[in-house]
Amino acid sequence: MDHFSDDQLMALLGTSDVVPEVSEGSLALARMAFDWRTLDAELAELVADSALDQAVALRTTTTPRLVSFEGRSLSVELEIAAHDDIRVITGRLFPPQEATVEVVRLTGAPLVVDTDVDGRFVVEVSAGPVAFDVLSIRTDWLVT
Amino acid sequence: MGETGDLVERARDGDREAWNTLVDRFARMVLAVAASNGVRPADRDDVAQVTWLKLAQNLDRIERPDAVGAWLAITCRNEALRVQARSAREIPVEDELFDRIADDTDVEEEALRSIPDRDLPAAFEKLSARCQTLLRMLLLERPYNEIAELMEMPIGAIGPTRQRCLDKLRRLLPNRSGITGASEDS
Repeated sequence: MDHFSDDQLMALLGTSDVVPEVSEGSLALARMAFDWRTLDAELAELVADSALDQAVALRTTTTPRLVSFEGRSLSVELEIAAHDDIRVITGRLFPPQEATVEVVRLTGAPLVVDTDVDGRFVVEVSAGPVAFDVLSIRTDWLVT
Repeated sequence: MGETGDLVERARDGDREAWNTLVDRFARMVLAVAASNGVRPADRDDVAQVTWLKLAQNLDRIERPDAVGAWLAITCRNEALRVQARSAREIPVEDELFDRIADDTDVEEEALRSIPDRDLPAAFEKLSARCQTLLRMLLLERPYNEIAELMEMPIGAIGPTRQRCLDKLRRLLPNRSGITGASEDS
């Protein structure tokens, strides 16, 4: 009784709650992801994220997170500052140009913001997944 | 092409039923990978959700539709690391630990439960992300080739690694739970 075999230990783990159950809400969100497919836009991939560099460095930092998306003809760079559940996103397009940026969120209509002549824009969102539509590109999704 | 690959192909062509079947098949595995990589319960839905959003957006780019399980697991692990880093930025370590306890169980309810019941999950949470991932994937009876791809190890290494992880788990358990090799009485 004072020693369990590997198989017995696995069986005990199987009856515990170490593998989380999926809630109905979580399933519904995953099913809904299908609705956010864009078929005609070019995907701009996430190519850099300072959050990942800091995951292996010191845990204490107050510098904003820097994120880059790269499409064939357009890149988007973001600086994300966190204030509780609010994210202030300062973005810049490369090459710099005037354009309309749509911030796609999971709830509500996209936020629409215009860039200045230097390709800069500022937008405030709640923490959570967002993607950006700019000209012909759609960026990867990002949890802000 | 296998059944899973076929579902991916159909989802690619806009078949919502095929997509929903993929979700039903892999949702728990995705959540388990998030849980294994230090994502707090409150953030797990975000990580799972962005994983599914990325699959939807990248359906055309999946090179091996039959291996979509490994694709989801690896994508989820990367997202978990990002969100973990984000959390580390916001919350001091002590608060984060407190949140984790507070999220899991109501304190009073915790006191009413017999302690040994919580020993096993509590010890499990102290295992490395790698051990947690491997054991949860095995508990979910994921195929060995999927586990091997996610863990970047040969299939032959899964058995020995399972054994090492379970040994670590035994050492993390308090003696009173009766699961450890050493007896307190003898």
